[in-house]
Amino acid sequence: MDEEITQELIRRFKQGEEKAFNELVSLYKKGIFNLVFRMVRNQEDAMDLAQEVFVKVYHSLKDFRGESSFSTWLHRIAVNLSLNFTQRDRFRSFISLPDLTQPILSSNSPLKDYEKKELDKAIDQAVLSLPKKQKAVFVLRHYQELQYSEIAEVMGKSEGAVKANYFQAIKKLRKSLAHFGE
Amino acid sequence: MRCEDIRFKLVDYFENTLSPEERKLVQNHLDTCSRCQKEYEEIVSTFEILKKESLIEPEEIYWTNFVPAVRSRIEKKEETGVVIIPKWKFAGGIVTFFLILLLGIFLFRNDRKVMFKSGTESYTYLLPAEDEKIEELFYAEEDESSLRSLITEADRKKLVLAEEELEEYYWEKGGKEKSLEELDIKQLEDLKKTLEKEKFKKEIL
Repeated sequence: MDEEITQELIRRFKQGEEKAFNELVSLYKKGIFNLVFRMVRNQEDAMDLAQEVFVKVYHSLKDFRGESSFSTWLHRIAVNLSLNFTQRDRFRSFISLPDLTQPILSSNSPLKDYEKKELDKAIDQAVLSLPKKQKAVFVLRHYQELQYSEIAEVMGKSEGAVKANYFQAIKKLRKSLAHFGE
Repeated sequence: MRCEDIRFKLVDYFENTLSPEERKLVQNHLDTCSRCQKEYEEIVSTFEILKKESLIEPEEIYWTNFVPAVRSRIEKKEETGVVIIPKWKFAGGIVTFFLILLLGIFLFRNDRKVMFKSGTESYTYLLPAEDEKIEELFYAEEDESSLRSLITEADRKKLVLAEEELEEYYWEKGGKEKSLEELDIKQLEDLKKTLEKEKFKKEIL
């Protein structure tokens, strides 16, 4: 994302131009949805949470002093909201009803579709059962494709600790998903 | 390099993020060690499984309504934030409530300060569970501004440093099977005590 455009929008918003906030939301909405979706693994909840992230941003943006980049700050808010959400709704997420909007299944074979659904479900369970910091590091690295140094900033940890968390997350996923590789 | 150290680098090797020297080191090791080679194949297979995961995309209408929906949530929050002037007969109760609240905040604040003052160190160790509690407070959804004044960014950085030091120590001791957050309180306390003892030994020797 272009940092210069972002900074300009933040400056305009701080000067009272409300429209600039809308543009900021439009710039980051898809990335943030993807992040929270991969964290909570439920589309309906993610659709709701992604909007809540920007409500929080709206209320805190005036105090944002730019000590870290906006993107880092935004990721931190999204990760923390998702982690708080999963903690609160841990039980619910395991018994939740199927999503209203299912992923588009491209194959014409019902068996393949079934296998794909099973695989998605297994990945969901495997990621959800990761310890929370490992889960956040895994999502930021694997899906958001952030550098270790960026993740370290988001999480307030050292690069070494982030690498260790990622390594442990992959190790656990490997165990949980081993039977799909056979 | 030991197998254990090589294995730690296998994910980065797969993602091609190692330096050329490290890459060569891992490559040479994999050529001669069948156990690490097997471990590497399993990592590759895990990433292949993850690659098959479906893409989820909400319908277009969600994106079209996104900004208005955020705006409406902001307005709703602002509306519920309006303070309604209470009837006089409730005023005494409300004043008392706020006095108690203020006293509570004051005591809580002092309590937190003790944590950072104990010992001769510039900071003291906190268990990750304690750190998490504070982090939750720091990022609490409601009334963030008042909570921020209880835990400053500087305090938070001290906590991060303390946790990093404990984590590094744990890794040095070979704790690669579990992460700190998976240890139980007893294990964490023991680890904390050993680290403090070793630091003390280093200081007096």
